[in-house]
Amino acid sequence: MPVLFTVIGYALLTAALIPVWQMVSTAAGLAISQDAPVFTSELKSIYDPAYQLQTPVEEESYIRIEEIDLPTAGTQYGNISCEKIGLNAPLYWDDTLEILRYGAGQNIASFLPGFGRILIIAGHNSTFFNVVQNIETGDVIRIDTNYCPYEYEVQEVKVYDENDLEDLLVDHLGDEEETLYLYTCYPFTAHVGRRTDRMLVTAKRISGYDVRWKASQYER
Amino acid sequence: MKKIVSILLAAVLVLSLAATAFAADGINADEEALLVKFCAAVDQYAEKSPAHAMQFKNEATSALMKLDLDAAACADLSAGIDKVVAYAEANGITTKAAAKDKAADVLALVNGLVAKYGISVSLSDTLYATVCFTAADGNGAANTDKASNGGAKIVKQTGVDMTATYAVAAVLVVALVFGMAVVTKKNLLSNN
Repeated sequence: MPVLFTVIGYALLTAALIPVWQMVSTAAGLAISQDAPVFTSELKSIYDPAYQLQTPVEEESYIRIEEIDLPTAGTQYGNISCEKIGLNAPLYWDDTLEILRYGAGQNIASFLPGFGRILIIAGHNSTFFNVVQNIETGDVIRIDTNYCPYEYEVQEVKVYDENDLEDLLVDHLGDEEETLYLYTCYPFTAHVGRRTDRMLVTAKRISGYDVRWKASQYER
Repeated sequence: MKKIVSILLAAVLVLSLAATAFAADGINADEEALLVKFCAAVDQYAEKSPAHAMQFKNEATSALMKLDLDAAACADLSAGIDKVVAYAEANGITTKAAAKDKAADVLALVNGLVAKYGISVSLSDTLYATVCFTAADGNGAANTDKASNGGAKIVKQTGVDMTATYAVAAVLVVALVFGMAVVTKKNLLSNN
């Protein structure tokens, strides 16, 4: 009986002290880690918050791709934000585990804003994308880049199994309509264990200039 | 076959590193034709998985935006794609196992084709299956970029923390054992 009450007691303590466990687990993780912690990052940035908005060419309302620097993997090229929910994160090209520690990451099989194709952006639900749990249909997500700011209006917020989400995104890789797919792990409240669901936010572009990037787009 | 196709992609991507600072120049008519050929090769030789085929096509499209290839360079690269595809056919590379066995040979073939541009290609990061390529830019600085090797999923882990899970479990076990020891000791003392 004493052992049973001990177990129950510790279970209740665990439930009550869940916010504290993250701090404890981080410290314990360092203690049991077999690798030395890395405090430096090899991530780069080409993003300048004080950018100048590109002036459209010949009143055609588009930006020439020659005026853009394209990021390589591991480079911050912009910033993603949503004022209503308090989202504000640096946006990197590529979505490795290291990158997701420092901000939001964009899958390299997708395209940059303004290119009229799919954008796939991920973030950790415990850090930068924790506020995504409060996003709603109609909210506006903004992506600032060196060449133009872009805004996307949320069309749908839905939870998927990770395998179903994989299939959905694959089906849309070839779409020729600019759609932002932003996802993070779900639920937001669990602190341990592997999460197999993802919250997906689907948004359509509502502002920002087109980027002309291939010869056939200049044909009249 | 995914490795073969990814190396085909690398053969396209490596040339992007010859440009300075990855300044974009878009896709000209010759590059569009090259992209069409690349996509046809991907459709023909990629494994029966449209997921990976579209990933390769999109990444090749992005890479060609960084290139400034004239007609001669596009012809050169097109011939390179033909050589790699011919090698795959001649060596019966139709299964994943065969592709893995021959990956080093195909890599050597591709590196032979792009060496004149001062570029090297390698396969690394087996966990996420990436193709890495390094070349010097116009200032002599080494630039490295990557493409997926067709094995990486699009949807990443954005919440798992197994280190935290094990650490928390370890702390709970230690606390439980300590608690049991305390209770047992008290019982022994009370019995005495």
